[in-house]
Amino acid sequence: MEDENLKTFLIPNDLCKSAGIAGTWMSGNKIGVFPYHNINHSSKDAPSQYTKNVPSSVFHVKHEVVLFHPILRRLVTESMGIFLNLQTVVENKPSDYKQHLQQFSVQYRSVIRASLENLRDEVLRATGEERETLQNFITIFYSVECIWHLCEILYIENIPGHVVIKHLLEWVRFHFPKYERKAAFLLSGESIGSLESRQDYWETVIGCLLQGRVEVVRALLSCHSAANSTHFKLADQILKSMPTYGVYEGVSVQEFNLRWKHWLVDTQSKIDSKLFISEKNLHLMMRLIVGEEMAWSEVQSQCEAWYELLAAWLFYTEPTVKSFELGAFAKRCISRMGTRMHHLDRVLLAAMEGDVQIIKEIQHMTENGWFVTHLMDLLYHCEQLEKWQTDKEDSLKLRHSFVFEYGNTLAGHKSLWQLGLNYLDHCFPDGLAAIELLLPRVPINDESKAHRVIQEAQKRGLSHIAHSVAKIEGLKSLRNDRMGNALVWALRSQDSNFASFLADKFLKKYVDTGILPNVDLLSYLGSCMMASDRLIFLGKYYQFNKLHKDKSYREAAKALVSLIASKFTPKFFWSTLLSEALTLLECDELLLSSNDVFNLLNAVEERLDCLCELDELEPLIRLGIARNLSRALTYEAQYT
Amino acid sequence: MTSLLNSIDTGHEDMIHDAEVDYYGLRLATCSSDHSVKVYDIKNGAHNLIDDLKGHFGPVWQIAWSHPMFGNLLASCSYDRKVIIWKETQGKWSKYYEYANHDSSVNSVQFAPAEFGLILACGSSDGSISILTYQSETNNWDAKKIQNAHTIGCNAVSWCPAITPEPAFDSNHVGPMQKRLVSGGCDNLVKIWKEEDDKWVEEKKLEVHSDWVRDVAWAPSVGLSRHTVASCSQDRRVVIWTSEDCQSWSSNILQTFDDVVWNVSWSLNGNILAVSGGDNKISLWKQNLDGAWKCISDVTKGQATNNEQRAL
Repeated sequence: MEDENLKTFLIPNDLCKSAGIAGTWMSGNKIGVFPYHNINHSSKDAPSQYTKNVPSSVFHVKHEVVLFHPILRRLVTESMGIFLNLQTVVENKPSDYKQHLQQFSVQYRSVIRASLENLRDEVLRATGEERETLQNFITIFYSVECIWHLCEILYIENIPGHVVIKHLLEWVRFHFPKYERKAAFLLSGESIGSLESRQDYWETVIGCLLQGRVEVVRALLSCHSAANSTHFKLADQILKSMPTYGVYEGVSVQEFNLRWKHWLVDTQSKIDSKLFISEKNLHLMMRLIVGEEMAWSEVQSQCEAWYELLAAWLFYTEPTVKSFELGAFAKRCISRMGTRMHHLDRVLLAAMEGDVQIIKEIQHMTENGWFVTHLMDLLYHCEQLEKWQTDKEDSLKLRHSFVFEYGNTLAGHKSLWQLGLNYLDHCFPDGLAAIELLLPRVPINDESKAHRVIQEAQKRGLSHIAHSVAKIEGLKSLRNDRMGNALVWALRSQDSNFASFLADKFLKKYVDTGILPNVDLLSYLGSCMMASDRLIFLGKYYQFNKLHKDKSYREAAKALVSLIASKFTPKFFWSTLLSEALTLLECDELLLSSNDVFNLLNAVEERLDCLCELDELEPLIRLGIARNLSRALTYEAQYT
Repeated sequence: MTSLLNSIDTGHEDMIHDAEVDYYGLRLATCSSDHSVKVYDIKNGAHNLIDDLKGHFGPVWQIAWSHPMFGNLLASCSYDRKVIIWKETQGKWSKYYEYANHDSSVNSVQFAPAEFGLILACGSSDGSISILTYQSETNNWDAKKIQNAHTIGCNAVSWCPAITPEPAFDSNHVGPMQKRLVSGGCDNLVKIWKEEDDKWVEEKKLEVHSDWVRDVAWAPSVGLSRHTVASCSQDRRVVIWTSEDCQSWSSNILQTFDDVVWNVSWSLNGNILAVSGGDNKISLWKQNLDGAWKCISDVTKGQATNNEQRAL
């Protein structure tokens, strides 16, 4: 057990402590633990030393799955939809495939955002422990959103020339919206006139400056009561003329750098001439935008996180920084701010360094693999994963293992199991094998669920599972004395022995009560009756029964003769069948031809051994046959 | 994060030897030195005693649930040399079949995969393994015995999952599924058995353990035709055996533990192995992408009842 990160869970039980424990698996995330001490056939046959310590209990220990919390249900369902769409797109490989992938990334993020908003609403309503849980979720998914967004910029989005600063600023603005909100309030006009007298005026101006919101800064400055003074006008001029780099602005990096340097020198000379010294905040701002170390030290405490500082600092000092250069700058910001690295910080740094470590860090997030599965799947399709692995095959294996685990986790849940199957479908071939193991274990509490399990099994060609589920449902119906239903399930299970067994039950019921149960079902049997010989007999018998009821005696007689001649009649049914025959033989109208009667006689003779139990019936039937034969022969001699 | 879902006071008057949930995880059965087997309803986190089964006259070592396709059956084996199969009808459990053809304590019972039918394997201290097959035509159980499976005694049996053999050349000709068993015993051996022409024969003898083999478990199959078996022994080692064809097996020693290892148990889809032993710990093991086995978490005893459980 080399890894110190192992989690240990203690069972609070004296007997466990003194005797020892053993465990057996229950479902996917549960284990049953009980006090255990090995004794065997050679131990003394006497009560153990632990009998005094009763009670002995079984403890069910569960690995908590955050995703099973009802509040995250939407996240789980909607992200599955995106995942499946993504797989379809990837299979078809359209030409604008990369663009699609970026859209999927945005979709995933918007699902996270929606969940976060929902969580924030709910946390206000919650109390006690539930509140704590929700707060914990918010922390988790806030990190997830933040990391995902950065990964999207670094690995998924196709940024020309890898010049990322604009995207980084957007990312920071999105996650630290405080100054933007304040600025919007200040500019809304509700407190116009004495803006600079507000305590947070300069804080907001500088905050906006750090986030690269130059236009907002200028708007705020223009609201200052001294806006028309020379130094304010000059500052505005400098901000306005600040060159910004954009690929689509038709300026090359070299040309931009030239302009940028020129602007820097110009601004620096104005600072050096102490043109802004009368307004210390304005002076600070100007020193910031030319990247003066002292000035940055003054404001860095205004940044909540190192990456907020990083984006700001790069914007003013390295505006053409490439995405793959971020790591080194990030480290400088971290040491500058003296940040104590939390998990989120480590992941973000790993992402900026383009380090494979990021996969490990993301796996350690406590949302049971939702994040790592979906992000790694996306990165795999962006061909990013293989850059971290030795080859493409390894990266595929890695992606599979995440999807597989996630699918397994969901498949073990009583209502999310179908979602799990959808994930497992996308990790061939182990996925199908796992489905084969997990699907039959889905606890079935009603028939509609049974139908769903069968449907999922058939969709994947796992007919043996469908059959076994149907058989179990059939047995359940039988136990509840719902014979018709049991027969329907038996037919679905394609278990001919079971179908025969049920057909016998139907026939026995008829023998006992004279009523054939579930006639509706029997009339629709059709070709299904081929499932077993006994079922064919039941079906045919039902047809006879119906003809007889409808008073179509001639046809009924024919059906009966063929039933008797068939070899399918169960022993217990002979007397019933022969009694029915007797009524037809003795009918006023001549129903059976001499041929029919001979057949009947043959059948009776062949089965004499069964008939010995029917002492009373035998002479009667023989008499009936003889009488009918004479009538038939006479009739046939006369008319043919 | 791990949490205690519930604790069930079994009311057994002595040590529990086995606690197994049924196919769907809705019922729990326990067996104990107090000669009884108890069945609980554990649906929705509740736990209600359904029945207390009395029929054995010695400690009951192990229990096994049948596949629901065969109704609700429970098998138990005991020091009293008997194997009892219990059946539930209308919520009541009763003795369905009793098998008393062993000459010593019966240590292990396991139902075969449902694909093979209703079959039970029993391993006994008399060294033999019995295979009981239910015959639906006669409503009776047919017993086959592997005599002298393990000298001094057989401690554990476990079935190989039902795998349809890959059709080698002709895809229309799929051979019948092969029934296989693994057993572990006091001769320090792990043995693989297969059914051949209605007889059970030894297919392979696996030698690594240096002391009595205490438990064996054939992993549920994920992946097409790869077999994985875990065995544990009084030599304090757990061995993972793997094979493609059941002929050649390679062994991988998980770890040498601090104490005797009594039990190994695979999760439903065979991806996590739970190991418990004399060190009073249950540890969970999982194979990583490189094929190495890593411990992922421990479950261990608590100091005393007044201590809160802690997740570290």
